[in-house]
Amino acid sequence: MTRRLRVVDRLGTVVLGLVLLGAGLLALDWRYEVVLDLPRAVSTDAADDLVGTSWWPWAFAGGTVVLGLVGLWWLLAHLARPGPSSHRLRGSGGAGSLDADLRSVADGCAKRLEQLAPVVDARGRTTVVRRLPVVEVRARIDPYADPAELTAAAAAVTADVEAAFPDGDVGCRVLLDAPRPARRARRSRVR
Amino acid sequence: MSAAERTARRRPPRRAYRGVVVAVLVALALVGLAVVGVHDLLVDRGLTDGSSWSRDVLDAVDGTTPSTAIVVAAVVVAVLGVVLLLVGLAPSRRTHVPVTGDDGRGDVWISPRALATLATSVADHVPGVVGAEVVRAGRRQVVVQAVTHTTATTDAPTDRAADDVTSDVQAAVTAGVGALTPTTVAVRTTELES
Repeated sequence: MTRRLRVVDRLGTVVLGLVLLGAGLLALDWRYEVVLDLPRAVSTDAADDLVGTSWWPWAFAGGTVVLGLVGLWWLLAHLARPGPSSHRLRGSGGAGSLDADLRSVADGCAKRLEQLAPVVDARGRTTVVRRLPVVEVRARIDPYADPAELTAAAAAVTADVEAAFPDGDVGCRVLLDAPRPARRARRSRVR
Repeated sequence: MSAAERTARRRPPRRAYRGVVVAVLVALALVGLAVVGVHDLLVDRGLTDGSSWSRDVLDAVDGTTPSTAIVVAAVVVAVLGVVLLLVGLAPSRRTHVPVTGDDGRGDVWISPRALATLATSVADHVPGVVGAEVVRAGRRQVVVQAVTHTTATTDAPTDRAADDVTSDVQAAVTAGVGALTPTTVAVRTTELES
């Protein structure tokens, strides 16, 4: 998920929260007449007049279609695979471009971590941390892992990425998670 | 400063935003609204049968009075609004702590639960300890409970005093995982009654 999408999601949640809170408080005030002096029954005469005009269906359809397109973009943005797939190297120029396949680098780093350290389920992906492309490797530690072995392996993987991108324009992040909780043994029942 | 160190300083790993479900539902509602708008236009143009859905809503709302049902619905809606406000404004929780060991100059992070697992494993291997488990795994503090047995067992000598085992466990855990992260790793010991 990109930073922009996170901001949009938060903004949407906050706006919806404010609208619902406002609507709820307005309805309560309508019932108990604490602040506003609202009519005791809802009258939709003005809205009926508006909906009855010849231009309303076009304006309503146009407005809602625009909102629908925004909604569609919003939905599709959540489906997009996050992280850059490649990174243009500094040797690129007018004569041609050199691109490094970052997802392959991430997969390779995950395999290397699994070889070096007592970890399982190592997965690599790419992400962007404040505009810096980052190869992120995530793995579950073995319950009996040696902490020194883990940190040495993580440092080796980080060093590999640093050596591959000596200009420092691609980062490497290693996340170590707890082992998967053990499943409960299935009980056998004998009647 | 390496790229990894710069990344580590920029943004620690965080839990995915919890309001994604809300955002997706709002996006779906917007798409649904577009369907209503197009449907009503088609009805108005006589291109499809049926009545205008927006007009049906207006007809249903017309004449509504503030009943008890409205009050209940208003309270539910207001509470939901407060919940959404909190979800939207609350910062995402950090999921990992930085690894700052000897080789931890890069961007390496470990979850508190994983750190607690390592501490448990270290404690479990100390002679005189018959078992260890995680009591608490937080970003600031990890607490491990070790059960010791100082009487005759296969892996603990009989002359071992309980205090010695306790200090051994604490020393082993401090040496093994204490310096790994800024998180405090505490050990509690209980003596197994024989």
